[in-house]
Amino acid sequence: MCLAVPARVERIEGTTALVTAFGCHEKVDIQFVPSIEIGDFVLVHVGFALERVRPEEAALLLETWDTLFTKGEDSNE
Amino acid sequence: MNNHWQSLTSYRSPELVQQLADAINNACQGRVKIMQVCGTHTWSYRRHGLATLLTQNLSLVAGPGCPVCVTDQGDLDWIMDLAGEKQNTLVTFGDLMRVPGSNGSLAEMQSRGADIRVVLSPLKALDIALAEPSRRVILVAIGFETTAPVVAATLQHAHRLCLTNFSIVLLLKRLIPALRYLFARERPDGLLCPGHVATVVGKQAFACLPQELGIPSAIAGFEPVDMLLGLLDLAHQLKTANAKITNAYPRVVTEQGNPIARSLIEATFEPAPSQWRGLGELPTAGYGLRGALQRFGLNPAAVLLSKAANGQCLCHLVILGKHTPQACPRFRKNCTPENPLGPCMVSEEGTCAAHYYYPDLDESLEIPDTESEVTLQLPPPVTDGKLPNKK
Amino acid sequence: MSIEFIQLAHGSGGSATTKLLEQIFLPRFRDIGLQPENDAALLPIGNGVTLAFTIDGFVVEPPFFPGSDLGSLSVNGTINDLAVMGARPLYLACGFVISVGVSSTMLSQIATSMQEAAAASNVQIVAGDTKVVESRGTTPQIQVTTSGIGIVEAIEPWHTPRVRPGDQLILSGTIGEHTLAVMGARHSWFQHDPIASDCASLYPMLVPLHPIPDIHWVRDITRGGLGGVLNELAHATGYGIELDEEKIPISSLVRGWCEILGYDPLYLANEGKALLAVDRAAASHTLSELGKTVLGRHASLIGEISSDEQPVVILNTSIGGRRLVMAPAGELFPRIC
Repeated sequence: MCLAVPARVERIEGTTALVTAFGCHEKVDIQFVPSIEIGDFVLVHVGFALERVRPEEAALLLETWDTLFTKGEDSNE
Repeated sequence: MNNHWQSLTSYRSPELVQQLADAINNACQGRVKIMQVCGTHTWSYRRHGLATLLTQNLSLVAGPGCPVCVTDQGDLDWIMDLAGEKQNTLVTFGDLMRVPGSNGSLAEMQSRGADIRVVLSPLKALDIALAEPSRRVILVAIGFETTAPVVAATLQHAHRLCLTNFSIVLLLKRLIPALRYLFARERPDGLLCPGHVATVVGKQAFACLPQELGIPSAIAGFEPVDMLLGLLDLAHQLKTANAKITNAYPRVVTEQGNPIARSLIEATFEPAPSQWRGLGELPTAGYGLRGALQRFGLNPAAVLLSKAANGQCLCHLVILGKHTPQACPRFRKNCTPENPLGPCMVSEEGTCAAHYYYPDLDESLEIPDTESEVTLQLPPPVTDGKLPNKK
Repeated sequence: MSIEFIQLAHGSGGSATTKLLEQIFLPRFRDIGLQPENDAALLPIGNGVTLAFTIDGFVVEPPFFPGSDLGSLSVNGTINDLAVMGARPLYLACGFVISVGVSSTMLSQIATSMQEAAAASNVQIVAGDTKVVESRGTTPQIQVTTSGIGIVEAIEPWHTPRVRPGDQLILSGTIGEHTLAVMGARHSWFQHDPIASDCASLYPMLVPLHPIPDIHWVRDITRGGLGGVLNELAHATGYGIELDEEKIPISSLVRGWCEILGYDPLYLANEGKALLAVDRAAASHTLSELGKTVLGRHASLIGEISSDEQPVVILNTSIGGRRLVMAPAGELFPRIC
């Protein structure tokens, strides 16, 4: 159940934030995580940031994704 | 566990996966049956081929954790009826589009002209209601505790906007009461707890399972390494005969969950009876609307008896982990993702669909080419006969 | 089970489509010449000349999406069906079924795209037809059918009977762009980071391979995705297929969208990608020839035909597990669960 992905906060505008998950930008509602700051990582589910992801862990995860993703290709066609 | 965690360099590292698999295999000396109650766990496990790395002693069965799968057939027919009414715009997550109903699926109704919108966020339903005031916009809310705060926020926002053309079919379910009910009757050797439900409700919400029922429980995330860490936790608990709740997904799951999400759920919903496929009506395993928000709630006009041929599928046994999909005589034969007879075959994370797309390596895929209907041998009653028999 | 009424699934390219063909069309058309296993029929006309001849229908909602549109899709789709048979596409004919209410601007734009795509490939559109039908209440639609003819240039035929155990499977580039471009446009997803359709003519990429005798089989990977084409190949040859997940090129944006939407990229459609089966000895030469072309620069050796006589597709996953890859079934919808 419950597909949710980690994303990095890029910009905060009131109760919404622009986040990037796997290179995709998305506007999400941040009412459940009011204290987040730019650069933090959040777990996104159906358009809402559900929880903060611990920075060191999230960085690790994204790093992992980066190495997984950039293997064997350079850009989107 | 924490040191181990920090030393991770990748949640999909083959070396780490192998290391964890070896550790689990060493710890699992006898046969154990672990239940997971999350469609994405099923999906991830099968998609990555994790089973081929783990001992056959360990069987991972899928419990009632895919929201489409546990939705009652009467509720599904109700949704289809609403979609068929001309003045209605039905707003739904993609998961429901292929579910079979008496009148075909929502996807088919959509192709025949029904106004059905697939959204990635429930807030979109409010945008539609605002932009198209002549339409009666109905949000179909399925999901568990993870999705509940999001639906709650949507309802609160609809209330603030004073929307009059917005309603909700509230089919959200509370997982933990259902698990307590199920496990009091029949229990697995261990439970892999869904990481994103735990994100909202917190680790402690699952503590009742080991404490009251003695079931070893571990919260796990959804990457291969996350899942294996959870399984390793369970293997250790089983080895030391010490049932507790552990958290193998500490990067998001905390002891108490998200306090704001929990209090919003509390302010919006109250525990209410809910129909679960396979389990029947459970007294507190659903949500009802509180106070002024009740005006958004739609109630079925009458108790709908399922019109779909329910005897045709074993979904109600599959979601209890009592039957593997392969044990159903219709699996892969009459029942496929293109023509699902039951909800477990619908969304890719549905138990049957996940087994269809990602079969066991040694599974026979030979389909007898038969013109006749498969004769269905109904299995013995669900348990000791104590489960409420709805229909 | 026999088909009672046509459902959406019968058009999805999966097992229901196979069933439709097997029950209705194959029994009737096979005896009068149908070559169902090929993307285009091969027609020898004497003097060592073989024509390739094909037809394809196109409907897409919305008709315009990043990277392409219905017009260029309908021209390149048919060009590709000819090109993967080792043919040089020469002439196209096109038929339009237009529902009442379609704007002339839209129709002009689509025709312009067809004109441009044909010119880019040096192909002529030599015949056409239009029909106008009642709109069915939903959005007015344009359906384009194109038929094409070309001359086979490959020195050996690129077809199923030549596929053997040990053949190497080469994928010409990244997968998944087309489906996500269309879905993104349809649902306004991730508009900051649009994915462009890969719609393109495969002919320029395949020309350098015409003189290589050890190319055994080529197919363009459209509806049903890589998973669909691989399963068709396994069934048509009777041999198993082994794949390495690691080697399958997928762009990071496609992977990202798939993670968020819960899609499996193996089942996403493409409109400018080919899968090749080549003799082991010719694999590296083929790869290097593909690598010199614009479209083939991400070409990758992704697996091989095994000697296993069970026609199944086995994927070695990147974490070290193994699993079967099934034929696609049903339409794609994003999931939250």
